[in-house]
Amino acid sequence: MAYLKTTALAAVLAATGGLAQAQDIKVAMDQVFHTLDPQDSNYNVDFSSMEGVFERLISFDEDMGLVPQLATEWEANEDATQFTLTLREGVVFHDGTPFNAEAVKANLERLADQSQNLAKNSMFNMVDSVEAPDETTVVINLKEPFGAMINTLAHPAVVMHSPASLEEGDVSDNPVGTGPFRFDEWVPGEQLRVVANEDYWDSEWPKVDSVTFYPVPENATRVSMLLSDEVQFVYVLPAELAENVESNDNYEVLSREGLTVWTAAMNMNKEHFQDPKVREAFNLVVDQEAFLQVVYSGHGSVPDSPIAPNTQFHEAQEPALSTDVERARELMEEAGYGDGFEVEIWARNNSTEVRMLQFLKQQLSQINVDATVLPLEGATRSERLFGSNVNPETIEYDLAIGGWSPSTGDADWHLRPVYATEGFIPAMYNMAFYSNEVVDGAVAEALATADPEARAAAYAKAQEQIWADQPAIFLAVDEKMAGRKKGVTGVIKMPDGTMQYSHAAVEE
Amino acid sequence: MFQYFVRRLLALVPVIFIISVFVFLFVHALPGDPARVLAGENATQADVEAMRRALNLDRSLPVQYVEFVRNLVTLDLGTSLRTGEPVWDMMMRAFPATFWLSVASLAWSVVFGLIAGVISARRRDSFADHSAMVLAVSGISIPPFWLGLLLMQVFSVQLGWFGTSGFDDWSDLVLPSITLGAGVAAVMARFTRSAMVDVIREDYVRTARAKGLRERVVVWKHTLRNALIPVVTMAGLQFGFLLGGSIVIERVFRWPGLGSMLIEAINYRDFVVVQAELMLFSLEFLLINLAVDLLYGIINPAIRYR
Repeated sequence: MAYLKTTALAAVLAATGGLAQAQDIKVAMDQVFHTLDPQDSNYNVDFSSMEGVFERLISFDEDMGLVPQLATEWEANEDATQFTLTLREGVVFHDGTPFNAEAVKANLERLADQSQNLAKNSMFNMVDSVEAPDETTVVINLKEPFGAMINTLAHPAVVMHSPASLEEGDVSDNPVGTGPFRFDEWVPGEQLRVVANEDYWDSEWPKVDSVTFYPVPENATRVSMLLSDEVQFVYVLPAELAENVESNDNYEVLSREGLTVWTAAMNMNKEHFQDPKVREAFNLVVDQEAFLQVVYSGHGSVPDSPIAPNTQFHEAQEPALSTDVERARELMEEAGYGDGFEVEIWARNNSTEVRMLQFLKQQLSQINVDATVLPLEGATRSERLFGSNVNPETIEYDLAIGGWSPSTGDADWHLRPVYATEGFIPAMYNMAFYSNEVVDGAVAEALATADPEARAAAYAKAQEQIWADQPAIFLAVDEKMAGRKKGVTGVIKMPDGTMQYSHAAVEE
Repeated sequence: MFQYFVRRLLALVPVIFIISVFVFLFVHALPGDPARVLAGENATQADVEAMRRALNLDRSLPVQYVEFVRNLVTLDLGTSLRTGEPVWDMMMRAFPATFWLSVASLAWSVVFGLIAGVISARRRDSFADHSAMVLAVSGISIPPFWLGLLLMQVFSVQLGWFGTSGFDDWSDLVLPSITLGAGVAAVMARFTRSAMVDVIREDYVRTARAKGLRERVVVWKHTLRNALIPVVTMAGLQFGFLLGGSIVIERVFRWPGLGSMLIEAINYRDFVVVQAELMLFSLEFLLINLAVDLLYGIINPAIRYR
């Protein structure tokens, strides 16, 4: 069969002269696009498809390191309340509007204006004012210290619209940016196309004529499109189909350790989870290596901290997670739960999380814990966990499975929503109702300064405390996977789950 | 007949009104809060509240219902909660894809189903009968999802005869319509067979044979025509289902139709779109039923409308 496939493919390649002449790159995405305005979106598909059209002030490299994009330099005052950016010169928006400090001011003021009801307004509610003292300087004044500001500016939603397009009105289907590609056409539910911007400020790019995106929610269809050369890139390759792509010489699997840490949060409002011995036992009884095999076909790694290694200010913790069923049983005995108890575990109803549920149920049975698993449809789960009438005191789950990825790449947006007291659901994502003064203090301390060393020290303290308290079963750091036709370069998968294609090229 | 037609059309009005109540209540009884879903997983409570205000979801249900009905009357279906696009435009864009897929599926499955059913009924308990009925049972039993992926794997990935998915070309209709029509063809074949078996025993068929008419005329004119009433009813029903857009098939084949639109709308609790689609499906069913009733008179002139 593999032989047949390869021959058929060779024939196709011979007939078309290979990929060298194809200057249109086609990409199959896992979701429909919601909007073409990243400032008003919460979805990676929207950020990814617009990555080549818009630019940010500061961007991330492949390892989530900060790199200059439209801002060439940045600095902060000591108490992290004022940030000054120096802008790149000679940049023009696709509609001819010059890019300058006034344009940045217009965009940041839009993001800070809470009455706009944009999806990303709340990220900027600490902004007091934005000044444009000259063409290439922007000063951002904050109401309160916010040490994670630079990373917030690098968030894929924080793009620079042409101020002219903002004034004209609706930018949700008319994106005008400064990127190497300009928007061409969007047929909702069908396709989205961007074409090369010949006037791009970096004359080296773009190197392809156009990029077309297709929303393809069905996993198997996405992979079929790649294997029949209808697309050259599959964004979000499910781990269970990676083998199909890898086994064919013409395609490759791209895999990057992500920022998402998967956990089963232990509801500490329940009496049994208030005992640290029980929480330790739950972590000891779960075999994380086996979890990776069962759930991700081995594509992932065992967490070594509450936050992922690619997240800024990550610090590997001791002792490493280990499995010791005997010790777990002893701990349960000591805690007075030798005969176990019943728990209810919540997760989503997709196949990956259902596998997680099944695996946990089996593992927990080793310490006599009888788990009832409850896979919930996405919107129903959101309602039951984060609905406005959720009451932390009476919410029924004992364990809730969830993965959190800090889209700013900064430790703040993982530790604060998931482990600080202010993050209790339904407000944010602290599903364990974990509350610790040391952690709360360290998270606040780290925000009060822009000094990286001081922030690192504070976050190290928070990570250490959480690791010791184990408010969740730490399960896995997943891998972000994509499938690619060999010979296509520059289309890459980022650890935060987004995709970049500005530097797309086809090898001769 | 014209009077009958007008009377039936008028009778649809109260039905549609009742449907609108059910659709509205059903959609709002779904668990899940659109503001919560649309605000996204990482959203804070403040984001959700902002989203709720932006979507006008902070008003009471009766107020929302009155507005829903008022808009329906003026054919204003509102705008999508998710994208802000007018729902009418979305439906007009998605309808042709679903319509053509339904027509193609129904066309081949009716032709195939009728022929298979007639042959089976004519040669009862023969090898042809048994094979046709085994095929029919398989057609009903095979999960369309799996059949679609299988066809795609063989004819698109391995053989490269068709594109995997999407609707750019008429040839793109082949695989999805085979997938979608398989179940319909099977139902049609079984229905035709049993209707034919009933009719073939009737006295007038024996009389036709006794008159010395050729077997072909007896089967296709005297028998099939009289067996068609239940078959046409069934075909009409199936067409109604097909026009609703097959969610699974449209998703597998990335078909830009009403089914894909509906599943996205449900996932994101885009109530406005779900309501509009359910109203459209109900209306389609009512109209198809009416068309089927009118067809009876053409097939069998003995049927009179009063």
